Amino acid sequence: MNIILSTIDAISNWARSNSLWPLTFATSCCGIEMMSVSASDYDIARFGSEVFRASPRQADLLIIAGTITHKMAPLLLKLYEQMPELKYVIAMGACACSGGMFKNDSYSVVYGADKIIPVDIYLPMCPPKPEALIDAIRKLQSEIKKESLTTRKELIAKHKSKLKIQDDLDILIQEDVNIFKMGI
Amino acid sequence: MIKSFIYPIKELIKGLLTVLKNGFKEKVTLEYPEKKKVLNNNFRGKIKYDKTKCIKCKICQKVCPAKGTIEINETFKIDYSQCIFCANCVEFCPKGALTITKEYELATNNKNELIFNEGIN
Amino acid sequence: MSIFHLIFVEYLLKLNIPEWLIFMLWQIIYFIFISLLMILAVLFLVLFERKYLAFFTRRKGPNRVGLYGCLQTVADGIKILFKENIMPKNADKFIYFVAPIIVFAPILTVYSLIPFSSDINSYKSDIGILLFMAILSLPIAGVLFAGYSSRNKYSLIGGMRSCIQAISSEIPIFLTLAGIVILTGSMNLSEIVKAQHSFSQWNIFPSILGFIIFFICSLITLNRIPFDFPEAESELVAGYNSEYSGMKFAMFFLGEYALTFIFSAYAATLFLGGYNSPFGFYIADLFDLTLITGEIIRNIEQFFWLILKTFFLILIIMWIRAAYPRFKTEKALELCWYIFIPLAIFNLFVLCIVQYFRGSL
Repeated sequence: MNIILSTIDAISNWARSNSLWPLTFATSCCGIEMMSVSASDYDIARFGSEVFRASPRQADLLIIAGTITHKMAPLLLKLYEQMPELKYVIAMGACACSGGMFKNDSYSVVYGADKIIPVDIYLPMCPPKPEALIDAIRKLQSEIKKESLTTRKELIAKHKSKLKIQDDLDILIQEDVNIFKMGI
Repeated sequence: MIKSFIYPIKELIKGLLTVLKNGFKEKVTLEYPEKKKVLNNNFRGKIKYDKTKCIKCKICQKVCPAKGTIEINETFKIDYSQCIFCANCVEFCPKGALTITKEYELATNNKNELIFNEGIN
Repeated sequence: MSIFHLIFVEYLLKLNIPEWLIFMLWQIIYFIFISLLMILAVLFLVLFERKYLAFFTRRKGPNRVGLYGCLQTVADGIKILFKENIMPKNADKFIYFVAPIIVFAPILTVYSLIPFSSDINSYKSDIGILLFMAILSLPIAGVLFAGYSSRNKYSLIGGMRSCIQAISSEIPIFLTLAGIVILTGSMNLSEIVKAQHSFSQWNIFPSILGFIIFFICSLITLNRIPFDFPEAESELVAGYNSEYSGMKFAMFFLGEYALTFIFSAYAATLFLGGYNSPFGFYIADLFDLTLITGEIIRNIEQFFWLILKTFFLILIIMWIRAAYPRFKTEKALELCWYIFIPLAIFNLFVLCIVQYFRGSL
């Protein structure tokens, strides 16, 4: 029984890690680096993830490329919720990791995308080099290869978004605004 | 009238041929994880901290444009998840305790790994 | 009767199997052959397109999964199997469920109409040309259903666009098909192929205009770039399939590629001589072979020629994809109604004159 399960695990992990289809989602300057990753010089197609899907229903990987403002936060949450299960998130750039240079300094920016949705891989720098994004995707692939179908439920539970409704987002905004006021 | 009909067809065929000509040129893709691009000397990567040279003057903390990236209390703390790699701190350091390296592969699954913490003499 | 059928029946009759069972088994074998052909063609085409586009943009394309990336589409397929199926809350559930099947099933049916060689042809219909186009107008209904039932404005607009496109492109296609019927005097696809037995007899030479019209109009029907308005990413998120995920999306995706393959095979059958060798002879004819082995080798050779011609057309379709940006919707419709229909009628006149002189010679 264990042998069967482990082979199925191996096959599914191999398939899922080798065809991560990213969602076309770029909010600011990191998006330019994300585009150049799929262009000739770096060519993400080598790893099978050049299929940028426009619809979240068909995507597996959400690359948060850029600043998440309070106005964008509900949309990000919605897009993440619309993706089918076993979805992965890469927070690309300092703004998506922690708010970056806007942290403690801005009233309109969410201080880190992980306040809204769970993030698998953090990729700092402002903006990261295209090579660094490929490196992040490779690290995500090696993470996926450790997964198992028996713990699939836990995985899904781990990937549940942290906020559910609009009210929660309002609370989040209020928190960030309070931090900002304290900074002043 | 015939000219206006033929012109676009000529241009369309020209476009097809241009694309085809491109295909037979040498491939420009770099096989990234095996081969890496030679970085420019101006490239700013991870910051290296030398604790023997540091005099705890806190200038780096003051000049940092991203508030709260560098904190000097008992330890020298730099948060790479927030750092924008402008190397202002390196520029302003009076004793040369901070230097730039060319390391850029900082992706990690644990956010705490990005916080660099080292004691000061 | 085909040689394969004769061998099959003879072998099974020796085993004392009743005739009706043999008849059924023969149909099942054909079905397996056709589905295998389709799946292989689709798996190969998806990978091929990714590699081919990489070739044009000086990239390398998928090369990490398997040898030179040959397992990339297999990985994609398995991943889609493991994905969650999402049904929108307000969707029209029955139609939403049925739409991908309506798209996929007619395409599978249509594979049986094409004569892949002189003996591999499961259904020799006397109205093959019409039947092909008639069955292929069903997937458009499926696309429209998909657009309507997901209750998403982008899907709806995508479905409508696909429908409009198909209607306006099918009229010039039918006019060029009429030209083929005039040239060969038959609507049976295998008869049409037999009429083009030598290189000079290929239908493309008298009706080069018809071939160009057919080719561009089939691009419009297939929703390929530069006519991919139903899936225009910058205008409609992903068009009619923007609410579909998992296996249902895969059916749309694979259906599109299967349709590309079969349309190219159809064009090759009608205009490029079908399974006929362009040199006028087969390798099997050069050697002294027994009747049965000779027939089998010749059939394989004919199959090879048809696939070669089909791939030649697919190469051009993908080349066009790499080169051109997207059209405007109304411009493409103008192209169909104002330019292609008059041209197709002109083409019909030319073919009538050609046929008149051919008959008198």
